[in-house]
Amino acid sequence: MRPAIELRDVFRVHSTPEGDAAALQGLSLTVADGEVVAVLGPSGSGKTSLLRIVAGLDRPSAGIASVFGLDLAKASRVRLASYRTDTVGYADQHYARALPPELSAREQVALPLWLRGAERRARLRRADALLERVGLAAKRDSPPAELSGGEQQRVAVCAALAHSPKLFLADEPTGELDTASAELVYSLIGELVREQGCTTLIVSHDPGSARIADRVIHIRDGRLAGEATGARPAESIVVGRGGWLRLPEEYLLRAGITSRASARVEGDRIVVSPAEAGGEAAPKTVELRIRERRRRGVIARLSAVEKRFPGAPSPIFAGLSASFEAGRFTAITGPSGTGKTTLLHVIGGLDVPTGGEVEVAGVALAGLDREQRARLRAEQVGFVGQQPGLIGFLSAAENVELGLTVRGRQADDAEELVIEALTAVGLEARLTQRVSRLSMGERARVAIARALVLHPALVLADEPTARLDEANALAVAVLLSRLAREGGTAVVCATHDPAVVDQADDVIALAEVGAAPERRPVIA
Amino acid sequence: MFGFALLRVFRRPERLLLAALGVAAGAGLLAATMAASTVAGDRSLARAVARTPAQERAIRAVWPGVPDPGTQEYPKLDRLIRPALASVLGREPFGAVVYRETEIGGALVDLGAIDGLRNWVELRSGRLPSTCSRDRCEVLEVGGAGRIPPRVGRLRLVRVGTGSLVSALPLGTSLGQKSTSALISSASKYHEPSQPPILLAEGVAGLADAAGPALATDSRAYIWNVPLRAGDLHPWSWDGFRRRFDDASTRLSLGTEFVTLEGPVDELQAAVDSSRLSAKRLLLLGGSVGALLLTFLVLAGTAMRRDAETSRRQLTWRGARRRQLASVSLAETLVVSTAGAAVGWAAGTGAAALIAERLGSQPGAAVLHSALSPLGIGLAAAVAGTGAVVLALALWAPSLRIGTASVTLADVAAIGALIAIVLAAARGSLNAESLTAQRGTGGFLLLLPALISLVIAIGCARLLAPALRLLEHAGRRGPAAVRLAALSLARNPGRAMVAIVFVVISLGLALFAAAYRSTLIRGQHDEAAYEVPRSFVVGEDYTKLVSVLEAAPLPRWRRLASATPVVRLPGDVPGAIGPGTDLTVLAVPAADLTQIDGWRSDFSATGRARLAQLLAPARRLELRGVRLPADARTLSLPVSIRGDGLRLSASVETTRGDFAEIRLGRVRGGSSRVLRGVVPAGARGGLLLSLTFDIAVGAPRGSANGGLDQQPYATGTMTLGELRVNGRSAGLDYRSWRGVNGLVPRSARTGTTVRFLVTPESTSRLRARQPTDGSALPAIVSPGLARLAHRGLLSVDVVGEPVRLRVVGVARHFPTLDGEFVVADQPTASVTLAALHPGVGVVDELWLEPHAGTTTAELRRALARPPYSDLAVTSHSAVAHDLESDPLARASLLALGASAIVALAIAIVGLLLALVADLRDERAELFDLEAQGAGPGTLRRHVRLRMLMLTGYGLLGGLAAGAVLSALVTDLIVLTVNGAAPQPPLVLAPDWPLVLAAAVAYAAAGALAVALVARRGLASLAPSARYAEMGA
Repeated sequence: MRPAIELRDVFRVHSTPEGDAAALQGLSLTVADGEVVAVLGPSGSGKTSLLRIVAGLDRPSAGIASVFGLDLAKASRVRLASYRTDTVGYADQHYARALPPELSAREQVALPLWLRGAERRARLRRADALLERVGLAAKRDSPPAELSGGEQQRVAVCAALAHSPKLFLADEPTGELDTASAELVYSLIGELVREQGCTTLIVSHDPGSARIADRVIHIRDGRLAGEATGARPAESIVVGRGGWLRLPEEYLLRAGITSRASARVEGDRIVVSPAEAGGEAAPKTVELRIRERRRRGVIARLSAVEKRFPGAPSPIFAGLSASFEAGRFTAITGPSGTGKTTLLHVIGGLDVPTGGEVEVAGVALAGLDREQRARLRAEQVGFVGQQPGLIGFLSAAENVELGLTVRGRQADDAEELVIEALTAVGLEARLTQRVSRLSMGERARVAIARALVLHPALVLADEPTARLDEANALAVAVLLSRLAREGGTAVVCATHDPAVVDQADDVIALAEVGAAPERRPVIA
Repeated sequence: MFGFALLRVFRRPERLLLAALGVAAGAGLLAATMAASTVAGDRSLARAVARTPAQERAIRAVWPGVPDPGTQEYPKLDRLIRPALASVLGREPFGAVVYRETEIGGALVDLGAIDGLRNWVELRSGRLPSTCSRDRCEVLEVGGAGRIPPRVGRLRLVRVGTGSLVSALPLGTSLGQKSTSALISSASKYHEPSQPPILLAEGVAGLADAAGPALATDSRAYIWNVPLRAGDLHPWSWDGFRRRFDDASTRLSLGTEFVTLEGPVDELQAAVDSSRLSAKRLLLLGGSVGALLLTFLVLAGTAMRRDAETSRRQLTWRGARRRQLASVSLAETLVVSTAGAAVGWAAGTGAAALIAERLGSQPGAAVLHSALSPLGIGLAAAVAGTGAVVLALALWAPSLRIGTASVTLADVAAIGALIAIVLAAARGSLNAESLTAQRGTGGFLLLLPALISLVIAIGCARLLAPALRLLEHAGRRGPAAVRLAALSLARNPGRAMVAIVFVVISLGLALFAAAYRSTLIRGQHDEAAYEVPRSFVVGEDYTKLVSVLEAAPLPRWRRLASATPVVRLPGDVPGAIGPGTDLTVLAVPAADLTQIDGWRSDFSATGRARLAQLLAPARRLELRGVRLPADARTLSLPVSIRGDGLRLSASVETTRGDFAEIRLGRVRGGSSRVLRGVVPAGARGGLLLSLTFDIAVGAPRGSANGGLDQQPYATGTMTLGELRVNGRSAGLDYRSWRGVNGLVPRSARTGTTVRFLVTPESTSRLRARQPTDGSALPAIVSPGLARLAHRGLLSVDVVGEPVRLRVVGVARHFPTLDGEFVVADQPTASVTLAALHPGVGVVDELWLEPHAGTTTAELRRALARPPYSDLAVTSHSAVAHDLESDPLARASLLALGASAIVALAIAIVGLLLALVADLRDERAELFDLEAQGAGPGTLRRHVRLRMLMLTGYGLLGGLAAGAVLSALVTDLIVLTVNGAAPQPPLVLAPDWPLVLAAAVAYAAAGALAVALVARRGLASLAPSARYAEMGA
């Protein structure tokens, strides 16, 4: 039987003003008709690029992409548009953005049918049936603003399936939901797609999606890295065309394999080991050269901190107490929507908690106004955001120097500080290189250098590896870890990335408020 | 998808409201401009009708002559002419007949009749006549004096009352009217009969019947009148009127001989043309508003792009095809644009209707023939359609990126626009003549501001990115906020450019409208001052023929007011082949040159004071001659002649400054006699300047002259003895006199022998030597004449006399003059001209200014009284008022003012929009800065500086754009505010205080907007929980 989805050696290169970036690097995948596949992988691994190619929104730069016999690389734009209209249903992670705010729940669900020219009565009947099916009949006239997040995502799923597509694509469909809502949505997706016999591709980094999947695949760096099925629940490494294997970075690290490895067959096994002495063995990770700061004790402390957003039914977190000590690297983990980023903002004084106390460098933030908090941040805190606010046409050194300017530091030793910071992150050879010409990993390091240029007591990093491949992610994780241990800095990093979590001294796993006590925030 | 689009629009109108408001503002201004221009044209035409002299303010058919019995009797003519005339204005004419200066029974009368006489006369005594019967024809005497004729045949005229005609309309110019002044009438030597009695009867038919055979052979004029009323003619009905008029004229000429159809059609056509010309200039405003609207829509589209992209993504994921996305976008923008255009058009139309009502026009008709005409509705639809398409394109177009060295499509468009402007200017497509001739210039005029704006906008865009980079580099050592502001703009220059371009264009157009308005106002003032350089210009009224010095001598004028005596004469530069160059000679006292109005520094490269110095004579010049005693009665001159006979006369400058000629008499050839002449009263005490030798009538000799004809001449020798006054020696020393034009004297003190050859071609004179003899007259000349000068000398003919000029300065224009001209010092010019030809160079015009302590009104009242009342007086204030009160001028200035205000307001709205969109879209960058340690103060300063840079750059760009637009447009569109070619030419005259006020208002509004928006936008930059967690 012909597979529903067949991808062979698919490459996808994005052209950006800063240069080309490969999102998919020879990915191959086959999905059977009616199969439900969960695609897991960290941010930046190529999940969304995969989804867009399968949806016919992007074309592969190279390789073959075929869905239900349609060659997506060669099909005309009109044919692709028809394919999207007739074949594909899509549910987005950002349901708030996916739902037109001016339409009621019923109109949202009926919209795909409207776009396909269905009669008003028919489309409303179908919308009502679906909303009934997901328990939202009573709210069919409510606009998105009057629905909870879970309800909105349920509406979004109904809208994606309203026209009974042959292919259902979901991009992090529970990314913004609490666990209970996520479970409900996954159950709903599972039931509906199986009822309709949809071939389904769910992209997520939430392992919960595996529950409804026939098969779970993992992608890393734009390639298929592992696979698990009901029959073989343990993840297996996928062998690519030509015998390419993608070994997890962690395995390589543990084995001390850097740039060269040797492989030999021992019976029915292949043993991979570091290349023999005398071979090139340049370290993959960045060599940290940082001036040690003699700091001790707690740099930041949280006492029964609560944060509730206006209008929200419950706080995003509550009763959170923790302390962050000098020289320790703390990872904050947890599902999307549990407040990881918000917690970083609260610690950094970028947001104000609705309860409890936050203390940074011995100063209680509650007594400070916004200006004073900014001053404290300038002196004591380095911040690395998800999107490093670097300026592409400035050099790495100029960007870091700009960080000094923003912090009000225009000292004579500025140049020295800048070079020191960039050297610390291994970019001494790229000082004058425009940021737009640097790789994503190098950019992340520039952002870190910018954060630590004044040797802050506290570094806050928000998903710093989100757009990096595994090797770069690991390098950044190691960099942050060394920054804490060797620089005496308290490093707090919100992350989904296991590579980062593995490097952390402490882990705060956030769970939604109301969860069972054992799932309340803990320091692991 | 239209329903879906409607649903989206009505459920969430706020996101499109701003764009709709922009369209509404633009459409409203266009509609108001269109309607206002029609109203102005209507008022202008009504004013032209009202200004038409009463006797011409009618559409009139006139049949003059003696009717053929049976074919041209009045009833038959009436049946033919009445319906033809009625078709012109849709009203029945009323008839009139005039028997002018007709002898009835030995008495001379002006006899006439008018249908509905009571409407046209004011009764002074008696009663109104009733309709004539065969035995008795009652008449009203309305003028003249004399005997009422007795019964002649059946015709018996009975005067039943006296009165006066209240209007010359019914009879036009068919009745003789005396117009010369009493002074002239009394001075006239020829006989002029007194005005006979003017007798008017009721009804043409009655008089025609009553006159019957008695006046059957008398010439008369039958007249059919349809009075022109103010509301009869409108710009929109003019073409129809002209067609009906021409049709009626053809019908009448085909129906009968002699009849003519008359009306002030040409004069009114000029008013219509002028209003159409002015309306065309308003296309400039239309173009400006259009450019503004387009830029605003691009800006609005840019600001709405993020929302539109989200919508497209939502619909795409729901399965919408590209054409569905496009149709939803287009339908949405169409709804917005149509709603905006409809509301704006309605508002603009309403405003125009109010203006129309206020100006006395018919509001309904005015808007029905402008904003609500098919053209107007079409224009509104075009605004809606174009707005929708532009908005949709702005929503769909990829983000603007500025290239560095590469040439983009925008650059090509800008270069194309520049070429189009240059070509149009070079072809002269934008002058008044071309505009009138409709040589496709209307469309180009509409596009002109947009084209100029496009060129400037792309230029600004090209300069923006490097300017920002430079600023960033320069600001590295400066405050963080400055560097951050420059960096943040440089980071996303495309959007900054759109905002700046919008601000540049809107401000530029606001300043252009304001500058053009002030230029036109300055043009009005200049025009008035140019025409009347002081408070009053007094000259001769050619219907009364009294010169200014005849009315009063110069000293009396100087007691009345500060008077500048002026001589104005026609002249020419004789051409070697073909016609010469016509010119005007203007003589003004050099000392007064610096005091007259109407001079502009751009008229000459030499300053006015310097020109005055160059014109002024080194010493005071006075005519030389023989002063006659105050009691001089007679002149006597012993003369003997050998050869042909001559006639002699003496020229005397009178004490009041003009000249008198004293005829001395004729001398036959070969005879001797004492010639005698009577000294007229005005010449007593005057200065005898010359003796003129003329050929006596019936000269015996003739010579061939160019083979054309026999030309007479006289030749011989004449001996003149001592000139005596009242029998006593006049003291004439012939040795100080010289002969010109064929006279060669050999003189002793008391006598001279003159060889003569006298022809009619030139005037032969024996005259006193004058201080100007042998020297050229210093003069300022126009550039055309300057080019004809050789080594600074130029010879021109003035009233037939050759005058040598020494060119001391060149001026392009001089008050009161048009075409080529010569300006000289008045005393010098008068002496020079009088020496050449006594009588020429007499002051014939005065420029008056009230003395200190008297007012213009008092002087005006004095001039209205004798002896000045017989003169033509032109008042500066009247000319200025006339120009200012012209409806076309008022409408143009109003429209320009409104455009300036609206454009400025839109510039401020655009700035606000850019700021709001900026803060919204740059939130992540601002948050990053705060995360790096920048406090709210730094962020506020950063945002303010960023907007200050935008505002400042926009302000500078707007000033530059306004200056370029104003200069180019003023230069290209050579039209005054009243729709005529300007004299003097317009010069760009920005109202600097107004420009400064506008700049300050813009800066203040911008600062206020920045403060408000920055305060609100920076209140909390931390993303909300949901978006923070998903990395938005």
